[in-house]
Amino acid sequence: MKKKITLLFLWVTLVMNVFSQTFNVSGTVLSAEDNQPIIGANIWIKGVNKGTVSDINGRFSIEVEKNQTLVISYLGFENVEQRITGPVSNLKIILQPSTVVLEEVVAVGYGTMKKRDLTGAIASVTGEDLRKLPAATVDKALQGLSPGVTAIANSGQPGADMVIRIRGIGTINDSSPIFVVDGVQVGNINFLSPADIKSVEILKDASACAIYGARGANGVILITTRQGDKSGKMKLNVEAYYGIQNKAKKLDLMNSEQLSRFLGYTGDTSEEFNQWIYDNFAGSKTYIPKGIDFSSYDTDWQEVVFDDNAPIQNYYVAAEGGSEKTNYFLSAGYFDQKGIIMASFYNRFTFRINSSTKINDWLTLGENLSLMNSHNRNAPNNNDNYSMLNSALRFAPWDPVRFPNGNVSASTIANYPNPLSMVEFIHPKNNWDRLVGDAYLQIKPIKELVYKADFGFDLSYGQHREFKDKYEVAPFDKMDNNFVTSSFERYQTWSIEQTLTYSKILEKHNFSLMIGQSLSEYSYYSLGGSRTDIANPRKENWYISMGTGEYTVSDGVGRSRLASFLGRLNYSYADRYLLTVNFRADGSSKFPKDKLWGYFPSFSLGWRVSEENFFIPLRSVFDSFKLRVGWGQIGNENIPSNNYFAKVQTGSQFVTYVLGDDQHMAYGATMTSLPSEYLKWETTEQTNVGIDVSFLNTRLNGSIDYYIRDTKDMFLNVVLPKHIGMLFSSPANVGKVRNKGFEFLVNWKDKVSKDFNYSISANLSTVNNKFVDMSMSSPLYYEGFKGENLVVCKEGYPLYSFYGYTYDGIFQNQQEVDEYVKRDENGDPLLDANGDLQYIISGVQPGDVRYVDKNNDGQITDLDKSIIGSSFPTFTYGFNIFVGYKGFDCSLFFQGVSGNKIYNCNKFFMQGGEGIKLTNLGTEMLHSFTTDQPSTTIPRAKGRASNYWASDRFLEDGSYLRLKNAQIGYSLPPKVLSNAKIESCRLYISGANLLTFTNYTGYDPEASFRGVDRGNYPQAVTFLFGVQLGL
Amino acid sequence: MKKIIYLFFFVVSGCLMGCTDFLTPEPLATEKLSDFFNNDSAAIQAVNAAYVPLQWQLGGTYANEWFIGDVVSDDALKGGASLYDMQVVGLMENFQTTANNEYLDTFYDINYQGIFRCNFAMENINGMTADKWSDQHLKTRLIGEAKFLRALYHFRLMRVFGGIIKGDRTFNQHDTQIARSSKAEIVRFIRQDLEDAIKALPLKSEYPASELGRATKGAAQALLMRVILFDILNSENPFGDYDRVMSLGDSIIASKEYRLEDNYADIFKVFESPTEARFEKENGPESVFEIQYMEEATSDYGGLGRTRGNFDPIMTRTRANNSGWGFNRPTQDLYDEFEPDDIRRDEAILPFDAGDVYAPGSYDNGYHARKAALGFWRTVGGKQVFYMPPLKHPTRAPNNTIVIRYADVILMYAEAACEINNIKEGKDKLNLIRLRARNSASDPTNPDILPDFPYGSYVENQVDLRKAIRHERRVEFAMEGHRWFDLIRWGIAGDVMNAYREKYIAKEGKDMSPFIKGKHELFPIPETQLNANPLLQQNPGY
Repeated sequence: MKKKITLLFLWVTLVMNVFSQTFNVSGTVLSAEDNQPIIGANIWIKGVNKGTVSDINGRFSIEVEKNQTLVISYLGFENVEQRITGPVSNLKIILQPSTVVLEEVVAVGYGTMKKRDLTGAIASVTGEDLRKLPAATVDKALQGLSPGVTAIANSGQPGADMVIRIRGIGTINDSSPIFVVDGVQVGNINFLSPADIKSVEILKDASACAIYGARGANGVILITTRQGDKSGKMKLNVEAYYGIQNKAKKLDLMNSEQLSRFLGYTGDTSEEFNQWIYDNFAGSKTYIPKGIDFSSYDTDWQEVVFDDNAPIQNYYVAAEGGSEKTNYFLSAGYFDQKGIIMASFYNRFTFRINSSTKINDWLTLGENLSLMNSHNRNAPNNNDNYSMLNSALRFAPWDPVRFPNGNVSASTIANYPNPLSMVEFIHPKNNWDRLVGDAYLQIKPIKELVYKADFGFDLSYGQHREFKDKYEVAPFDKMDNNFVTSSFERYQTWSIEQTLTYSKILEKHNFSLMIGQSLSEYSYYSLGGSRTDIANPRKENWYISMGTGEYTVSDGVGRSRLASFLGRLNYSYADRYLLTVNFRADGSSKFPKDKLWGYFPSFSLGWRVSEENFFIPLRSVFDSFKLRVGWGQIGNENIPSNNYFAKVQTGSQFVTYVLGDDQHMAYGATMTSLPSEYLKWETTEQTNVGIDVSFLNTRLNGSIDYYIRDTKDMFLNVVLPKHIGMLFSSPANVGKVRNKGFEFLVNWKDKVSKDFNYSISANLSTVNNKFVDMSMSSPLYYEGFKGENLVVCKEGYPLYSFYGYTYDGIFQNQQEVDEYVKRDENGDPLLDANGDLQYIISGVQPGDVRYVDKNNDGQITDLDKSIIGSSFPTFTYGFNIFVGYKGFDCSLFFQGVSGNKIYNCNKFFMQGGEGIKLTNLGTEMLHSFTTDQPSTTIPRAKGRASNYWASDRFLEDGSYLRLKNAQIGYSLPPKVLSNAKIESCRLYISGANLLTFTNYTGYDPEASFRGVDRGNYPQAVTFLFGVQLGL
Repeated sequence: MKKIIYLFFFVVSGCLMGCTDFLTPEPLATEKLSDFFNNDSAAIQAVNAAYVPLQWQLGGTYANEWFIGDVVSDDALKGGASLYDMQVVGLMENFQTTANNEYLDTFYDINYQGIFRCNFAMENINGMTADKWSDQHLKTRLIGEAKFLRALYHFRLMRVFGGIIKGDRTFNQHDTQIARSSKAEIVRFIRQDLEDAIKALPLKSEYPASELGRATKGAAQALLMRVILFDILNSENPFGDYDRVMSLGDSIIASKEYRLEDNYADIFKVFESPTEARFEKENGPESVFEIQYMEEATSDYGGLGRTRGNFDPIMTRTRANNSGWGFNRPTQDLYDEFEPDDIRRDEAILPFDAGDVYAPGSYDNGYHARKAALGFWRTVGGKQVFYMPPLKHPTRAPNNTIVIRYADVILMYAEAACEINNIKEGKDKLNLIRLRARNSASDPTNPDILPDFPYGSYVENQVDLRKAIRHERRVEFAMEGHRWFDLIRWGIAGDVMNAYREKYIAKEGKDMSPFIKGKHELFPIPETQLNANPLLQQNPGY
């Protein structure tokens, strides 16, 4: 309807113009580049809503009044204005290529496309954008930059990968997108130095991803690294930053005075205090030396575990140069980050060589090669109940960090290991080497045809050695023997790809056809062993060969292969109607012989409405307006190999018994999982509708996308009834998941004067996720905590929803308790044999928690559990503000999510869930319910165990808005630099995670896993000073 | 130009032909079932694997059978760190079990995995042609072992759940919907398997020492005695069944394969000092069938909790000082059951309290189970201290779990004799057990210690003999996981447990719900299984 009104309006405007006195002007529009006619150039009359476009020969004709001015424009060229004083019939308009706005070209997988010709949903981030956000890895820099792409730091552990999801979670299997770096598919991108990157393209919809059919179901992230400058000039870039990191917050725990008084201590003297400790907290009595004066300690365990001002530093140098014939790009970088939690760190060396050589007119050779070496140490058991952070939250404030004799202390109250023992008695060494690259050959026998062959590889070697001391701190904090483990692993992926691309322009028809073929193999081998009892356990002896005790050795092996045929047709008519057709056939060794192949087609259409005649009157406002529609299917084979045939499990695990007077291992063999006979490809089908618009001389750009993404035949581990007797479940194609959502992107860029420019960009996206069908498999439970599962994947609900009882407040008085009883159909209380009320939860008192008896059966059982929330945000958003004035630049980057929930496990402990005398408590317990001081939020201390059942009492709003990055830079004026023979020099200070607006009470609203926060490693607040130098 | 196109299509078509080969490589480091059963060794391995689920003590929760046998009965409390520590067993002990009980789920799982492995072994062994065997007798024995194990797994399930799905063959994806067989049908099936096993299995002494621990003829006979007695209340021919129990007992006794250990304490002894390991009592003269475990210092914590070390020591040791977890804590009621100076009390129960960590709301009576604790008394500073040496593995220990010992055969025999009113035979067998306990005491000649039946207020009649035998079973096998099942098979669980609840209503009984007859004899079929298999019917009352 709206469309009709618009058309009517356009028609009326056109008709009205006819009544003026006019004469005819005709002419040709030519490109200054090659003197060829420009098809589809816009010709309109300044100040009047009237215009036309040039035809196939660049010709146009238009009626003009005297002294009106014609404006001739074409994207990528400078506008030309021509005042008309009389009729002209052979006006020659020559457009100069625009030097300001170069036609944007984006990578689309096996090729590139002009951005304006795109028909799929592709987000693009340039290397310059990335360099504005100093980050250890590229994935960190992707956070919030593009709608529909979420990059979540669910751990602040140095070197931890981000969890990246494109358009929601498509499958309960691995739902990570694939990364393609210079054409090579890699599992993660930790080998890349962010400064090496030229551009990142994120392929979101099926039509864009389908060319990666086999592995593109969860989106594709294409990364192109920098190539050498071809201008003949050599350039050198030096970049460095140094910064400090600190914890963003501490949780409010009781100090020694508060906790002891809360637990009933009434004395005054240190003798009384120590006696009180001895009488009440005898847990590790024999491990605590006599005569410790507990009253003299008031330890802040969070200060013990968190390090202040942890350094982060990065040094990078890149050299590039070359000519039209040959060019090169070389870089080396070193990154080093200490964690904010004691002893954790990550450091990395990276090296890169990219070069290409044009042997002659038709032959080009080149290679991209990068090498990485990294070391790291993680804070152990992160997001586990036995992490360092959790120990710190449990230990009593009167526990000393070390006993006076210097030994690591045992806690008087907590059954947890001392956080220090996880650092002092465990000595891990992790080393990774990685070599990623490709070599290619490009032949161009005629102008229209390009053949490219590419050999890519990704080799990675990991070496892990860990020594554990023999020590004894407490009953649960000891090692009876010293112990060394060592392992070595090697992953290798290679691929060979060939593509043949034919492009041709025939008058208004512009088409390009690509066909290709690829083979790849992934393989894995690991070898590891362990041994106890190193006689002289000095550092130099931490090797298996030095052990004297029993040893183990084992290896692991894996292999999978993929073969593919692919094809793509791009066709456009009159630069206005765009069509892309992709087809890919993939064969995978993970499927049975008759199910090897999956076929994945996709289609997408684009309509550049702004090129139509009827649009011309709107040209003065819109620069371009494009509609996109796409549909396609993509495959997923991300399951273990060797699932489809019956296997016998042998070896020492699961099947080996003990026999004989000598108690030897008696090796066994059986079947531990059923074969998945009917396994086939998991398929994701996606439909996408989008609009791209550009207004006001391309200063304002925006796009809107809507998509529906269905994952069908999802691999689900069908949990068979247990009478079948399998140890492991087997996958089958039974599930269906639907994601749908909107994505909005707006940016405004303006150059007010030579000295002043600014830009603002914002993006917002929504995801609605639903597990539509899980067929015969039972709900899948995750995140076990204190004997209950907090998270479920259940039909009809979003994946990974929270599961538990519904909290219904705190009993304020006995009357409320007496109303919480089993009732008959009339609602009257049912009495038991003795004439007593039957409480829905037996033994509750005022101050205890009330839950909703959902099924009204007069008791709280598992049947009263339900879905109590989702970890999916209603929407996620980000915005960037940039201001440049003379040499100064300033940018702010905010990122946020809204509407998601987080299950805060620490609240369970801090409110006494483990037992009131078994951990330190949060200060909120000072306001817990007592008869004198009722509370509607904190139940009574020493209440019923039921107070701590998994319920939405521990579920908090996880919304946040975070200032991810703020930066002020200053570029030294060229005048100053030229004296020093320096091309450019920018100094900046930058801060990360400076501000966070959230109601979440845990450490970090980003740091949860499937929405469950067990005291996960929080992200740091970082301040950096950096310099970027160009020579 | 043309050349390149030709080259391209040449490569493409070459690949098309080669692709299928490329994509279907032989799997690496993987045994295909289709080429595995080729020799004796494969057959032996298949049967070995069928024993393994007996060792499993950890799946979704800890799954030790004494969590029912001892803890649910009047003999023991759950224990542990707090109410949350194995809370699911706390609910079972208090007769508040619901169908979502994770312990039962794990227990159900483990035993059916055992059944699958028995059927898998039998079907594949039977499928092996004669030319694949180097020893034909081996086949008979292996089938016998598998049948013994299949009977044992069914029995473990049957006495907890009643009638169950009969695992008489390997199941696959198409067998998800199967109904329960009646309890009588399961008992029939178990008895048939055991009768077959008795014929097929060799005597204990016929195995070489290196094969100790395998199922024997004696084990099959003793298990059959237990199975018959377990279902005797439902028997159509109780006298015939008691006769069968006695004839099986006669056969075991006549085989001279077994004898009572001279000293009761030796049955459970593994270490005498920290340096000296003693294993000779494992699979010793009194042992009829044991679940085998070994010392394995480098095994992981579990890998699904399934390794070759025994979890019982760490689970039952005190939480104070010796880094145990303090589960399965004997009750005052059990302590009081022992006669004065019965040596067996101190072998079963440690009156041990050194400031244990125990959360409020549970009951800390200071007792701990001792039989699996792997400890011994020693003198430290002139004081007797029960020393539990550190384990080589953080959680796993080498001691075997005794399933059936010869004393049980003797007492089952006594019980059968008593029930058919053969008082003389019943009394003699009972007195064998008392004699051994008496001889194990510090002063065996003291006539006041454990005198022969009839003793105390007992007179020599069937009623008193029955009482005496039931008392004897409780003390002889205290904390060995028998009590609950004895109460059930005698049909007295409701009376005993309700009386227990009343007696200790101020303490241990406080959180208990009353035992409901007709419901609490069985536990609920796991909810997960009812959901996955609509043909399954829940037990009454759940």
